[in-house]
Amino acid sequence: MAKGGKQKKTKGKKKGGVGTVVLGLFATLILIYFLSFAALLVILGLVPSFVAGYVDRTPDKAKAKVVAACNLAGIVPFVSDLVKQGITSNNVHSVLLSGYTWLVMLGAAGLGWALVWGFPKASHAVLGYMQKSNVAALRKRQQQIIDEWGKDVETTAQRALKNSNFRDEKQGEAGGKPKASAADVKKLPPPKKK
Amino acid sequence: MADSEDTELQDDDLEQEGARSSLSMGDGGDSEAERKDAEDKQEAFVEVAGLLKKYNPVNKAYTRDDVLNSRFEIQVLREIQEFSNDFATAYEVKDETSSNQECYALRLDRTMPYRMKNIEAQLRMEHPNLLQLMAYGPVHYSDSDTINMTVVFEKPAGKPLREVLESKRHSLTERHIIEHIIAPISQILRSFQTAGISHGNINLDSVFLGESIQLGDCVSQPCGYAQHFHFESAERYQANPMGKGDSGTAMDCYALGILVAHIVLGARFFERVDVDSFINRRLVLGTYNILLGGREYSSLDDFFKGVLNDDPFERWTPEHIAQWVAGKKFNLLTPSVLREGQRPYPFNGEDYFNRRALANSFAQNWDDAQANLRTGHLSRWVEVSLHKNEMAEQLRKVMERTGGIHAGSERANNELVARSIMLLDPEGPMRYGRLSSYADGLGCILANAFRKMDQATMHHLAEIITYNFYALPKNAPTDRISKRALNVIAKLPACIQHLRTPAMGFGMERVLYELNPNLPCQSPLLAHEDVLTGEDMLNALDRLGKRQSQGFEYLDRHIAAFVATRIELQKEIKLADLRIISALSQNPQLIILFMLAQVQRKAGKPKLRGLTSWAVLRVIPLVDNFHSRSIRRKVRDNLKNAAKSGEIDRIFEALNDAAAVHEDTTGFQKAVHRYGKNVIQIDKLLDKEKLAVKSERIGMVLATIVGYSILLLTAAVVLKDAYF
Repeated sequence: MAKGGKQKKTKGKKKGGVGTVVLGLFATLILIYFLSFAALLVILGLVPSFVAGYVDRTPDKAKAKVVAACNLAGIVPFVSDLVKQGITSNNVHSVLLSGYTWLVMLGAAGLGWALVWGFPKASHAVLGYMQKSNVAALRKRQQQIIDEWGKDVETTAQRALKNSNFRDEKQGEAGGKPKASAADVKKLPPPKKK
Repeated sequence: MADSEDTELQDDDLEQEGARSSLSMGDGGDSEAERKDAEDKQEAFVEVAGLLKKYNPVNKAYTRDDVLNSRFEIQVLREIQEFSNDFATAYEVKDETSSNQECYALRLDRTMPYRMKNIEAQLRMEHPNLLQLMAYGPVHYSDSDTINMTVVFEKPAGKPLREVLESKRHSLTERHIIEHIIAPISQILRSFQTAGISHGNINLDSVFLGESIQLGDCVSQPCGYAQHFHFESAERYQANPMGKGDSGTAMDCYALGILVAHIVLGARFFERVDVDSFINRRLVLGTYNILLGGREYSSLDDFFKGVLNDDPFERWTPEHIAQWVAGKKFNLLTPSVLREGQRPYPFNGEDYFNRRALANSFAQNWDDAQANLRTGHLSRWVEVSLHKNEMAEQLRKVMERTGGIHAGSERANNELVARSIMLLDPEGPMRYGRLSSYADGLGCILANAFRKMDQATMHHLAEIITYNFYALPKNAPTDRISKRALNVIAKLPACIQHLRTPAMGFGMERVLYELNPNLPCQSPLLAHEDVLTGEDMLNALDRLGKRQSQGFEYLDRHIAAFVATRIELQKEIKLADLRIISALSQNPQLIILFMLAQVQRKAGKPKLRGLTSWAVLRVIPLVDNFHSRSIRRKVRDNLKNAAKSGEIDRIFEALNDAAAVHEDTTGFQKAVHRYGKNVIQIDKLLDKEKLAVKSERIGMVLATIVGYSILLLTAAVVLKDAYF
């Protein structure tokens, strides 16, 4: 089901791709109208963003957006300089031929990629650490319960969880039976002692 | 005196028990809490066992070894064979208060019921012609370290009558017999009748003749057990020796008649008699006719006719004998031949004219009787020849109920013969295969079966009780049944229920104590004790607690049945208050303890620290049925206090602490609930896939925020440089 849904969504996006191309062409024309030769700098400078847009297959294109934002941040200062100096073919030519210009524009795009790669890793590390400490606290509490009430607590609780098919339910989140709840555990009678 | 060195609690036992309990607690990965709980349990064991070790029972059943009532010193090395019998050993006795008094002691066998009524009545009686019972009570015997019921009698002054008759050195004239034998014995029998007891053993060996006659003991054996068949009346000799019961002084009057007959006819006359032919002739011709018919005893003729009457309800009573001795004339008719029918009933090659003889023959030839009864001829004979239509109808009903003319199962055949015999001879004993007993003799037969571990007899007795052979029809006259037999008959329906209940306090053991109120508890645990009452039981167990290690169980069907009889328990005990903890509510040890608690309450709550300490040692492991360690600790503390208190009720209070039980049950449910929730939560937290998805989502959000922030910041800086 989940796989099918994903395929459906992808197809829908492809249909919408035509509109995006039209919108892109329209935006390019506006850009050429206002910036004339400087538009060439912008289009060539945004190539890493176009690549990111192509590479990022997620529906919301979040990675491409981050890369594009950083990429654009690298282009904006040069466009501003051209606007101040006057947008002539000579000025645009000199900026395009400057290595510094490309270093900044591509570096900014690289920073975008670094953000896209680094932030999930960092958050994984932080969340992992927080979860470990949470699990340790819960395990300590469980041990305290066993210390007070004996190992029967564990076996009774495990039996309760098993009876309510908790393990099976955990794997399939979409549809199916409801998960084992604490109420299921409560319903069970206390275990018979030997 | 019990050797305290041998019996005191061993420290090794303690350590072993403690180690065992620790092991049982810590199977598989001991946690600190489990170790602490095991230590706490062992500590409780050690503390209570220490109490038990220091405890000295206050209630001692004896003061000095081999001494009764601080007066009669029993010489256990000097046995007297001539006064000993199957159920009592006789010893020489030294009376510490009187050197002139010659006495002997009878050490009674604890496996048979005591004739307590006889003992108590005889203690109160004083008659020069009755051996004086001087004292009775439990005595601790040094030779076997056991306590036995002991009866002290004065020694008879003369020789047994048998020896006197055999020596032929006597000049017992009829006048002498009347004045010096019949008169005093009849006086004694009158006293017995007033006291509601009977002797059951008047014969040549129990009557002593010296300067005067003396009647010997009637307390050391079951009534009629040792009686020679000549001295038994026609209705009683057909019963097994153990199953004769106690039918009153009528049988003693008969035995007195036979005793006198021995004197006048000579002992040799009886020695020549062939037993089988004598019995058959006696049932047909009557006792008087075959013994004395045709002889003339001018002075004794009425006496013989009166006391040798084969109908116990027409037989002379001690009152009649006293009147006759005083000179009253009775002019009795010679008893007629016991012929009831005009035509005989043929069975096994013999012709029978009366029902009692036929019933006896059926009982003697059980298998042949089964085949004969299936022909249906008996009911016709009873109807046509005896003109007893009602009895014939009853016989037909019995046959229909047990399979009609077709041979049925062995049980059905046995039932047919037994019920037919009962209808033919209602005053005779109930006969079932080789068992033959009156209702009030069932107890002794059962006690003897337990004594010999005779499973076959127990099985037959169970069948007899279950069939309810002794049940009387509605509105049946009871004037011809002895009071004792009626008492037993009244108990039998309850005994059927007891047999059907397998729980502690019921079963065959319960029937044993119901039918034998004066039988000491037969538990192997109490083999050294003499336990007759509930209070005796408490005191004996109190002493046993001291003597045995705590590994010793008080769980025993005999103890349970004995106590259940004393507290008149009718239904299986279910400890309702402990029903929440099912393992405790059905625990047999606690059920026995619960019964003992009732006995203790009934006895006025005597302090029994030995018993409570012992019981607590048995109960401490049961505390593991509580889930909560802290509640276990609390209950153990309460149990320790209960052991010190000497009150069994306190043990139940400790286990029954409603708050603790409730707290434990609800607390455990909550703990399971909480633990389950934690498991679910931990599983969620440990799901790597979820963690990755979440990290990706949060990371991308952060990256987006930072990316757009960089863009905005750059744009802002550029715009500021360009235009401001």
